[in-house]
Amino acid sequence: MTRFHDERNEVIGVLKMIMNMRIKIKYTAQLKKEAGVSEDWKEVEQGVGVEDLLKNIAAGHSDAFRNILFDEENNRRQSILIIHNNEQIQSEQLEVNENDEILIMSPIAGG
Amino acid sequence: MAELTDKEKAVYEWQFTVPDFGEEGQKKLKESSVLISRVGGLGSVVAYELAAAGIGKIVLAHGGNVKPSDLNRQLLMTDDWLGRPRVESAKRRLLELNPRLEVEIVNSNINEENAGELVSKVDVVVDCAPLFEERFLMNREAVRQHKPLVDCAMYELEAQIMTVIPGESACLSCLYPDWPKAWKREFPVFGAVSGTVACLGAMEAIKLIADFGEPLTGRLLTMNLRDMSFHTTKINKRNTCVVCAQV
Repeated sequence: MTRFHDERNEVIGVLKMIMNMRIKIKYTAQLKKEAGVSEDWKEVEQGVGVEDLLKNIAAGHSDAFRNILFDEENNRRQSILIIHNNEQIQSEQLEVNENDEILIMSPIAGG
Repeated sequence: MAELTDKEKAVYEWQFTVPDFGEEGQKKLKESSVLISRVGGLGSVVAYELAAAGIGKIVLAHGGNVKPSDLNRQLLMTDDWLGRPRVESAKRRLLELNPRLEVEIVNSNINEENAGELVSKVDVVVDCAPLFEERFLMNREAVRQHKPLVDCAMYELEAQIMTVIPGESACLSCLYPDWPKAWKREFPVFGAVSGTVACLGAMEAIKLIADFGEPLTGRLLTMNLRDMSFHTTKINKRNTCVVCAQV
């Protein structure tokens, strides 16, 4: 039974690797400044939730970065624009494919 | 419709032959008015290009005096005007270019007390303000009064622009449903960046007034002048928007 469970878990692990997609995350303006990079790559599940994706991304960055994405109650700020392959997202679940681009835009004003 | 003088025909003759614009478009510009919030890096160039194109009237709202750090991008300010009111310099420079232009200046930023009245005086609003308080005020009033709004913004070498037609397309509050608390108005900037998006803003206003071409209605044009990438994204009107959902 142990061997069965080990083999089952190994198969599940392989399936998860197959179903995960590698996508490009791009940042703008103050998000980019806080990230220190203009883009990054992430492995995500095909039907990843937007909230989960942003928390996953924020986990790898500073508090200042996180504060741009989330408010004090850890809710996503609605002023953050999420663009998936050049289209504003319509749903809280993203159907992503390998090499898709997610652009996360922080608000900007004038000058 | 207002007729063009011989002088005006001579000044604008190179615009007449733009397809779908012509003398009729020029007359529409002459009869029209635009409110520009602030005459900084963005607003200065919007105003200058509209004056050059032959707009009839410009209303400028911006408090404060010219500072040295303004002079890398605020093209209606001059070195000899340091310490003096910005809007007065703006009016002076605009009239040097186009003495036929009517310029109304308000030595104050857009605020709750003046927003409604200032928007009511014009046909089109161009938002160039660095603070979201002003931007949301102008958006609210433009939507309430059914005036088209051109929204220009920038940060370092990035910029964006979108046009709002109240009742038809997404407004600024559709784009930003909650307050952008993380926005800081101070950032590195070149005049060439503010000038770029400002020229686009002026062209949007001209197209709206003369009714030709395709404005960026409900579309957000973003640009990064570091790598010269330009993208257009459709922005959805929110049916729960507190400003425009009922319009």
